[in-house]
Amino acid sequence: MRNNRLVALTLIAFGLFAWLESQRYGALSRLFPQVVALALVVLSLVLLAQTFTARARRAEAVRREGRAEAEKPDLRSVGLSVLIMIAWTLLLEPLGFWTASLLAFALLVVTLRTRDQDAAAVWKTVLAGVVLMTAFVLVFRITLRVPLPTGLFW
Amino acid sequence: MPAVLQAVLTVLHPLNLFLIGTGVTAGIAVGALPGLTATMAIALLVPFTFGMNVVHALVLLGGIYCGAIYGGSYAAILINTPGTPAAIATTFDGFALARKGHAYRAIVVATIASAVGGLVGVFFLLFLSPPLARASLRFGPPEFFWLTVFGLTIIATISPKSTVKGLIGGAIGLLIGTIGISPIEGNVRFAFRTVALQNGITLIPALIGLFCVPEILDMIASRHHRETAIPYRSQRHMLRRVWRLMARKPMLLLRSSVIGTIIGIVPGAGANIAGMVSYNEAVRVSRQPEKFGEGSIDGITAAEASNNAGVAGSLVPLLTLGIPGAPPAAVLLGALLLKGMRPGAELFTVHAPITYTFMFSLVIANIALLPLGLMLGKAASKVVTGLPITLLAPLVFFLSVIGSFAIQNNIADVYVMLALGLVGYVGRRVGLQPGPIVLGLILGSMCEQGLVQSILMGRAAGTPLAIFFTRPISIILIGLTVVSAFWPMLARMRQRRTPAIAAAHTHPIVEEKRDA
Repeated sequence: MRNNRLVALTLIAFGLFAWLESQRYGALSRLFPQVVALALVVLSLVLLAQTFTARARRAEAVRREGRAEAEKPDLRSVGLSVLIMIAWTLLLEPLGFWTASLLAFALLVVTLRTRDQDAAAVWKTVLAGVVLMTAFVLVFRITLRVPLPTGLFW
Repeated sequence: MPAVLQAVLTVLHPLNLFLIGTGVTAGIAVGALPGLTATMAIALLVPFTFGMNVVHALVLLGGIYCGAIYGGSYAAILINTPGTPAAIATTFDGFALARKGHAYRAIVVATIASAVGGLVGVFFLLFLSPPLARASLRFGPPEFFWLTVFGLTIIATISPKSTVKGLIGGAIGLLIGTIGISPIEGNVRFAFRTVALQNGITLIPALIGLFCVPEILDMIASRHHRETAIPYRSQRHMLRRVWRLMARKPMLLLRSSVIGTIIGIVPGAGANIAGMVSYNEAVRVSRQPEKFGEGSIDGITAAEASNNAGVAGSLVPLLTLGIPGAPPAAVLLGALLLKGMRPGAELFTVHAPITYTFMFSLVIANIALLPLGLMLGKAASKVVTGLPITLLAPLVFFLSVIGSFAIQNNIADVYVMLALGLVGYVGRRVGLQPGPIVLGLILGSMCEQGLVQSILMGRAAGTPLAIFFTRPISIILIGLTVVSAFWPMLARMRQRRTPAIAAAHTHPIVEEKRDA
């Protein structure tokens, strides 16, 4: 319920921003974005109103109960993985597609290792990944002739 | 008649059969990779046909087209990412079924539905091309506007938990679709002086980001609780068992195939929209709509029969009028022109043997989907389901990066993919699913163009708004829109009133479990 309120308020702000930004464009260019922005604001208001109903409170109670019973997601790993993914995409051009992918892939495998994986299992996974990625890069570069960035290395 | 007979004999030549098989296999392989579309598959492989004679080139390209649209279902089922945009609706139930350990069953359903849908589409192509092509020419801007509005009503179906959140997702998708140059006046919108955004958001990277990245992050978040992404269970006589289930609902297969063909014929709509409209109709007509989205065989059937029927549908206006019904058909048009064949009456008179050979080759290609699809599908589902998450998650992200980049060799597309992926992940955590956002994104530009052009036409006629409500096809589409928008609500009310009736109709999967 609190989540939905936050979502609704954020989207109302987003819709109003889109509406105001559209004012700068020509009449025919702003018509469609403004209609959609208006629809977004109205729908977000409906979502906001729904959070105050008794039915929403009951649903929230059920959701909390369910969440307490469910196993907690590993959000720390998600955060770390997102950082690695961002670095991966930013390094594609400077380092080269294959090199950047290789480094980020190995880092992700190490970050994601599960409790039952020993060092040998991690190395095996990295090796399998290197072989598969190299094969894909070769197929794209040679067979499909996609000019993947080469950067400093390859 | 001699031309038709000659065409049948030509198709059955061993070399042509080999080329069709090669085309279907290559198409499946390319279509199965997220980010590589059917359009790309044909475009990438057209150069290989330069040295071939026209018949060999066309049967190969036809096979690739069929295979690629079908191949998109593999990634949709196995990693919840449509391999091609046409397979978006397949993710709704395909991945849900795979998560229950029935990945191969989902692939078998997709294979049978694709083959049947494709064959129905070719039937229309063979016998009804000229009248259907003439009907599709009556679609003007108001009709396109209402067609997209009709398409958007699907959101009500694919967001059963919260229609409001589904509609919000659709609006977000429509707004994302307005980024870049406006279609009529040419203003650059919402680019914020960023060069990468000036040309707008490319559909495929956006689609990969919204579907793939949230799935990868979910895999990561829950990796300690599940060893592999999806379990795999082998079952004997899968083809026979699935066929028995599907044969109980022949109307579903037929209806989805006809919808796919008709939408494929409408220029610009294509297989992407066909799959979703057909899925929506399947839910609307079903006696157990609540089963959709949870691994329903009917959902996969509707989506796959329709998108493969759309392949032949998109060739109807191409061959008769020279108007491609979908982007892959546009690339095929280029290949036809390269070979000196001009679409239109000439194709059915001077070049009739070649044209009919091409059409019959699609019959063989759709039949070939069955053995090739089942073989490749079994291998793919075994491989993907056997991979540990520590390997699968980085590998899927790698494929997402390479797929996004390869669309137009542009690094900005990779950034867009990741940015929208993160938006999709946050959205999913707060209940905004990627399906409605993608739907808005796909339909947005066509909807805007239809709206603005119709207003301009209306202004010229002195009645700016009347044009939307006075044309016969528009009125039919408005009716369908109203029915489609309110049907889920009415169905829910009806179910609440008569729960006993709902319980009485048993779902095929449940029924089969009981049998076992």
